[in-house]
Amino acid sequence: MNRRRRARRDATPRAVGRVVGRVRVGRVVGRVPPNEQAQTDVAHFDEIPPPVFADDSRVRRRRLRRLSYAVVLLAVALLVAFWLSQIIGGMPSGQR
Amino acid sequence: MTVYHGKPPADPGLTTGQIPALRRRRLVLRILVVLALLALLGNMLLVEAYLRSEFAPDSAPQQARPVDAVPAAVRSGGPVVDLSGDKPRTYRVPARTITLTFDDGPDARWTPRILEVLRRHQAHGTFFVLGSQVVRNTGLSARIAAEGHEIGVHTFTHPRVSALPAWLRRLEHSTTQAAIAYTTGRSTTLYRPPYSSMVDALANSDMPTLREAARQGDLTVLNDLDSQDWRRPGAEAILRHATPRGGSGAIVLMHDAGGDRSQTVAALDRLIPRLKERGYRFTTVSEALAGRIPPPNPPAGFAEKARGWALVTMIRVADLTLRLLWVLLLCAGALILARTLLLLLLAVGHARRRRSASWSWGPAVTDPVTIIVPAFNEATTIGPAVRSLALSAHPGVEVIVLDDASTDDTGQAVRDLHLGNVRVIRTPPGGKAAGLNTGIAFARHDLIVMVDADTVVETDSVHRIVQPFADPGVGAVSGNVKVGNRRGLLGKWQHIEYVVGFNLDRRLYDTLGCISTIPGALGAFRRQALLDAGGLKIDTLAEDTDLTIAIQRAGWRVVFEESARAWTEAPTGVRQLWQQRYRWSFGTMQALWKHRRAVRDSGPSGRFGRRGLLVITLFTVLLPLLAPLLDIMAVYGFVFLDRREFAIGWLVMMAVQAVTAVLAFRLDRESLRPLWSLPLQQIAYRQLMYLVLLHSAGTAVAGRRLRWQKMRRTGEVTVPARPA
Repeated sequence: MNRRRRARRDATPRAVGRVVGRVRVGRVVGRVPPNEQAQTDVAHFDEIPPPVFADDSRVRRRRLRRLSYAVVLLAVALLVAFWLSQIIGGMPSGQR
Repeated sequence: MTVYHGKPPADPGLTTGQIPALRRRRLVLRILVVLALLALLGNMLLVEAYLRSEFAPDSAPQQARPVDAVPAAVRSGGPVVDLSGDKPRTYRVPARTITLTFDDGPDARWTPRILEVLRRHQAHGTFFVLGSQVVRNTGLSARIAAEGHEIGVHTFTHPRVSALPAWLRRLEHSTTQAAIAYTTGRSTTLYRPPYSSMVDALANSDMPTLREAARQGDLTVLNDLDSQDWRRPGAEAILRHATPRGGSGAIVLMHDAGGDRSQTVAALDRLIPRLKERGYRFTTVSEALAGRIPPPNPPAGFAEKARGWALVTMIRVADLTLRLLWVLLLCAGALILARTLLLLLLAVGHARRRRSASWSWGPAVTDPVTIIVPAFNEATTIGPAVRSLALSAHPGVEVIVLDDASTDDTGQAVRDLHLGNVRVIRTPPGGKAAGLNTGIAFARHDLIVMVDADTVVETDSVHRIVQPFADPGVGAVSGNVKVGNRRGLLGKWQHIEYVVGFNLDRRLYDTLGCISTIPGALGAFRRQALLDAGGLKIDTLAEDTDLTIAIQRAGWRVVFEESARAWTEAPTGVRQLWQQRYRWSFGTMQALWKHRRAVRDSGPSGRFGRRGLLVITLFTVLLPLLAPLLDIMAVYGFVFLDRREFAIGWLVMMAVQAVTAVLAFRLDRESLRPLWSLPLQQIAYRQLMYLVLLHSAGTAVAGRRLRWQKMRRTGEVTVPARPA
């Protein structure tokens, strides 16, 4: 079914059976990568493992950053509140 | 020759961290976080230091002080002083009335005994407590109040209040009030300044304190009789001092803390029944002055109790922090001592065995050797390095230089040497591990030596480093790497570090069968061992540590050959040293984490995991992380605690380090001259390594990718003449 549909779409005449003589193929453009970019089998790695500890999604880093900001902010706020309460609490009521 | 690798690892895409403004802001925030954490720690340590400041006994002799500003009515009045009105008022307790007062408590040992004596004799007393004692003995304060005794403020830490600024005096007073409020649920209007005695001993400098107490609505309670129990004169003498003459009433000063109070307890046990027999009654300050002074312990308000709760919590956290630091310091000390003992026993034994006339690895190894030199932009240093390798005194030496896409004609520098047994293989950028793998693929021989491009070897180093392969179980050999550029303080410090590291630590690890790293500067491998380990991997930055661990897990022995020496170029600036150590420590963490499952393996991998990884983690990660505590706590102890004790402790530790360094230098036949910089090296290096480790740990936890950073080379490595 598919083969029949594809054959109908292809307008170029096809050689069937043994081909004798020249077939015009048009201009050939070579698309071969230059040597410097070519991949060879001289030395290859099966699979490049990801670096240990690396978190390329950056989720861990973002969470850690936000958590450390929050913890430090809270701790500093508590510390300041503590000292203010102790110092102001010690003042005679007229000076507060 | 040029080799093509597979695709290089994909670069993670653009991130917000690459925007300069955002990056700067994050850096500032990171610095603020670090500063805030340091401030928190400093706060805890200072709170602890303030709490632990030692005080002299209450009635320690004082110098003569001017008294002309003390109102005459006060000097000649009773021991309870009220300065709240225009005219000072004083009160005396009635005749045949004894008010027992106890200062400096509550104390976990002595206060319960005193309370027991008071309960047995059905007497009540007044306790002038220290805030610092109240927060540490919360249950006792509550018990004092619950058993019907009165509580007054005796400041927080027992300072000489007249010498304090006004704000600190207020803080001493208010924090003690808050502590009392939280622990007993009651407020207090009674105050006794530390180091006070009787009214006639008041001086001008005491008046501001007394006036402040009055402004806060407090009565100052001094005493008529000092039992002098703080002198510990014996129970009989205390009894004598505390007994009033001629039937008069008295406020008696005693102590329930501040040392051994067994005499006080014994004297009290006899004083109460004796005076009761003479018609005396024992009561509290407010009961003795009933109707003349307000009730001293009304219920405390919510705000006061909340302040007390915050104070108690803060001090508990500070206590916990300090306790944790002491425990960690103890761990550091134990690790240092254990390491020193192991070094003295095992490393010295190792050196002796190796130097004995009978020592041999087996028949001489003369198999040909391939030397692989990975290089990236090493034009400055590679010439002498490759020449020294190519001219090695060993039959059949082949040198392969892996030029990792250098841009400074590194390959040409090697070709210009015109050495017949040297090949240059140029590879696209792929990193050191990839280059070494390529070198292994091209190596023609089964014995492979890997040498860094900034390292110069001695003529016989290659021959010596392959000799351990006479033992068929040996898979890899570590050489003895030395610093070739020792000029400057940093060069000397690294020289000391290398000598100690290679001549003691490496011998120790060799004896224990757990060498953690075959140095990239000079190491030899059996090809089969490399294959069994799966070659060099690029998932860690310490590919040498990773490979060494993998070889040992594969069942091969890794040994140290101290006679195979190589001179390497050490970083010349702090920034470069930081980068190098950052990579090393991060890479070591990666390697240890990567191989963590070895502890559960069976066979040689499990054996190495359970023994080797533990030792490596203890001595290469944990010890450097804890070691700076020695300096931090020494400074803390020296400034705030027992100066002499801490100075001696720190000097002992330094002496231990010095002994081990001298030993290492002797074993390596090095001149002891650079050791003059050892004390400074110990202090500066410990902090530097600590910061590097923290930075590395932070990078690991955050999941950052750390990349290779190229070191700036100077080509200053010189090989000294080998001693005869």
